[in-house]
Amino acid sequence: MTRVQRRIAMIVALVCISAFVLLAYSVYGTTLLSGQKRSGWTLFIIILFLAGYGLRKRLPFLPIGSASSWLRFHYSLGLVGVLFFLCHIKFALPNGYFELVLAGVFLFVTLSGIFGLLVSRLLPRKISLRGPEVLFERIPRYNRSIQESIESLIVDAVRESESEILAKWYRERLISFLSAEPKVWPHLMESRRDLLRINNEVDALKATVSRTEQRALERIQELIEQKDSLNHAYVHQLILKYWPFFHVPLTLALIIFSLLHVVLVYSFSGGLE
Amino acid sequence: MRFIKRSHRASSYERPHVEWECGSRCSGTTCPLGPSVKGECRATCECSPRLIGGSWTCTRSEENGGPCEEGPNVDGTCSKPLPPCVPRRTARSLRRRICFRAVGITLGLILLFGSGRYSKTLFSPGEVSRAHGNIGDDCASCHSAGSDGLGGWMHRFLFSDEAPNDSDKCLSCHPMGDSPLTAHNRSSAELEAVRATWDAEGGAIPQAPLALRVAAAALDISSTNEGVLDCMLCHKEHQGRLSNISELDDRRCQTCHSRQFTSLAEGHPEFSAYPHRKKTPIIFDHTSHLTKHMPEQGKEITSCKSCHQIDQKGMLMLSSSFETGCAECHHDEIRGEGAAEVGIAFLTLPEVDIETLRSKGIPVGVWPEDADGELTPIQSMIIGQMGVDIAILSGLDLYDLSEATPEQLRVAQQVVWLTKKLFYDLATRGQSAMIETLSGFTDDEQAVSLVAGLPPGLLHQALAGWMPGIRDEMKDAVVKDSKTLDAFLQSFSSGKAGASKGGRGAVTSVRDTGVLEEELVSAGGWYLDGFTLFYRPQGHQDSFVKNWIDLSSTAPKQGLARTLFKSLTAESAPGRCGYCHSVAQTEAGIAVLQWYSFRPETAARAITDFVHRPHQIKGSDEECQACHKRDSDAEYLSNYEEDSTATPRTWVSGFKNIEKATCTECHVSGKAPIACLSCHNYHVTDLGSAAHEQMTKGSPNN
Repeated sequence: MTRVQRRIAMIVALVCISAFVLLAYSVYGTTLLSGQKRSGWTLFIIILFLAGYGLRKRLPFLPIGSASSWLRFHYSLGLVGVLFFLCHIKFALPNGYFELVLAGVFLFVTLSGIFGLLVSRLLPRKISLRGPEVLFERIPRYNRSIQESIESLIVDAVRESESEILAKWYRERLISFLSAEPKVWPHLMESRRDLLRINNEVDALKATVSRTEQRALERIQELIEQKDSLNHAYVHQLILKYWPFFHVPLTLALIIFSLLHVVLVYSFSGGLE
Repeated sequence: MRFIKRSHRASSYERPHVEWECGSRCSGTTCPLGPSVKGECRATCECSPRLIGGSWTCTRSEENGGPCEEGPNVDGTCSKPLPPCVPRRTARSLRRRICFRAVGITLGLILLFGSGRYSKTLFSPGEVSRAHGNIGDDCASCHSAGSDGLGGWMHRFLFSDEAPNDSDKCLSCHPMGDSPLTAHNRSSAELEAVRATWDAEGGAIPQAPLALRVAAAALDISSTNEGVLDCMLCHKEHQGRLSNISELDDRRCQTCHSRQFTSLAEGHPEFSAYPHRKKTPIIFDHTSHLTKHMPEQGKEITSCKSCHQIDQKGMLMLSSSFETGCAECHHDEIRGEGAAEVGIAFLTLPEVDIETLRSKGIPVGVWPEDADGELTPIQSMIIGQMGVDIAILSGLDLYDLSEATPEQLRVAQQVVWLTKKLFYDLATRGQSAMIETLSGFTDDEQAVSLVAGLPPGLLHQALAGWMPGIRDEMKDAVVKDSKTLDAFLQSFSSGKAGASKGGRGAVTSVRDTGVLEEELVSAGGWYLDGFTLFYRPQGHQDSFVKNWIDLSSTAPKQGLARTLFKSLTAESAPGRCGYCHSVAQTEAGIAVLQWYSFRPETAARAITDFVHRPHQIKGSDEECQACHKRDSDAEYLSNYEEDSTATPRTWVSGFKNIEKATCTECHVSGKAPIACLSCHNYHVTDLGSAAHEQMTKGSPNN
């Protein structure tokens, strides 16, 4: 099955399941039978399955499908879970404080999950287009390497030209660019303003320096370009790495709140089955 | 610059799963050793020089730049010391810690708020409706788990097999009769009977709405909770202060119904006997009154509202009271004007075959020779209740005892002596003697009402004339140290009582004037006629008559009581109670006279309600008669004949049935309400009496 076929099959399955859930909701709403407990238990099991994806990643040796298959299942089941959630709360905000908190936590988990889905689909592509594809943990080392290379070029140029222009420019302007923390929003927005500003300064500097220094500046310009690309990759990988910091803890809180909700429902439902 | 170095010599191995990483990582000068598992910095030097061929050699790895140019110090130490750092946690470690903290914070919040004073507010699923607003945060009022805390709820969930039945809590304030949790508060037998009636009446079964058909096909609805319908199934609380917990979707109403339909206009069964399903407690023939009696009296009814007024809720059209609607014609009738029997015979000296008793050697003492009456029903019942087996005299005339058995003679003797005792006690000890006697089979309060101002003086004079020696007889008969009836009967049986002497005769003083005794009490009250004490009803709601009828309904010795009940409720009986008030059978099979026309506060809640006010737009009679069309040919009075077997579905009303089309002229979608609950009630139990009982008994929790 090709990727496209697989996606089409997934969409069709999701549509069918959603239609079935909505039909069941309508049928239960028609009768005196209480569909709340059924939808609630189904939703709770779905949440547990979704949380099970984290465990699956920690147990790669188990022959229970690949992590990518589990991830696709995680996405699909998450969407079905949202539908069950809406049916369970009858498409209206709960009235009680605790239920409101529970719904809020579910909403945050869902939104963070959708955010994760979007960033994991979009950001890798952006990183690939801009390059380079590097390990997140190694980016500081590469930055350090670039900075050392630039410093080396400037030292050599100053030695050869006996001019302090490049050294002064490095101290006053370039070092702050090299050592600054990458700016998140400009890189997410694909803004290259900082890079252009530095490049413009380099171009302006070229007109006032010797031929040796010009060659050094051309090489520095390339390294600045690489540094900006590394910043771009760093920002995008930072988001990819840290969005689960919201999703996973909230999921655990959701499971605990859901358990309490189940306890409360069974204690206060008055024997209603 | 090439970032990706594939060689293991050129590139270090990343370990993101470890707990700690070098604190200098951000600056790109990571120490090759890295922190310990406990997060301690292990930085010393870039390498550990090795002594090779007598000289110290740098051992820095190629990955970290290879051997340094400076080489080791002469003492063999590395010339490039590593600056120490403060190791920091890896991203994965941080995430794990955040997860643990999230779990801890969540549990902490639950414990903090779940066990505090705000737990009920926090865990409440929402405000209760305004009707239950007085309950506030007292969860235990409605939930058996309400008095528990977090631990109790957990325990219930984990270890309790028994589901709490909180419907009982609802019923403590909202009594719903004997079958509170069955459909419509009716037993399964009653529901089955209704279904059978519908099936018998036939008619096409309408097409159920699609959703209901799907529900019926997909779900086993009939087995819902084994026929027990908990209150919460329909009444959803905690939906906010302004919510209406009595609202229910039409389709949910129809879930259990065998005949499901779309709306009143589409599929709802035709009205079969609406609204005149029940025999009216008051016998009132509209046709005969409007076409015969009232014209004969020269009266004209100009409007339905002359006799029927809408109640305060705007729901029911109530009938006028007797005083405003009936008294003008019927008041004198009740007091006996023009009637053959004016008064109710209370006590009498019956005609007894004294000669036969004497010849058999049975002492009866003094007895008036010209006593000519028969035992009155009231007297029979009193003597019967005093322990005399008066039924044995059934079919036997007291004035001819020639063929009586010894046992019958003995009873006849007891009747004679007890009658004399009743008269004598009444004449000498007054009303208290009669109250004392009646208290034997009713309570004191009712006994007082049954005496109704009985005048001892009236009897005192008469008794002296009828039986001059009765005082001596009674003195001899009554055993001084015992006031029991057995002692009394024993005393005269043994011949202690005096010899028989004929009396003087019945009261005749007023007859000589040509005026009847009963006419002297035209406003009602007691009078003597012959050897009989009569009571003439004083008017409507005469408590003496009402109480004797009520007593005869419920008193033991049903044979005598039934005779008394029939005599007092006969159509022509004094007081004419039975002329308008019909007899009904209670569930226990006891015949009672229905005193009230219709009392909304005690009436059973009907399955169908009709709110009159919104239907009276102009307030004209035409509006009333658009629905209530009089049926002149109906044999209304046949319902009240003694052998009538009229049931709510077969009884004959004086009005024609209302047709569904009359309602669907307006009650169609978008024009007027068509929801089931617009016209129908789910709970049809006797809420009035149940609530009254609840109020008088107090809460079951008390």
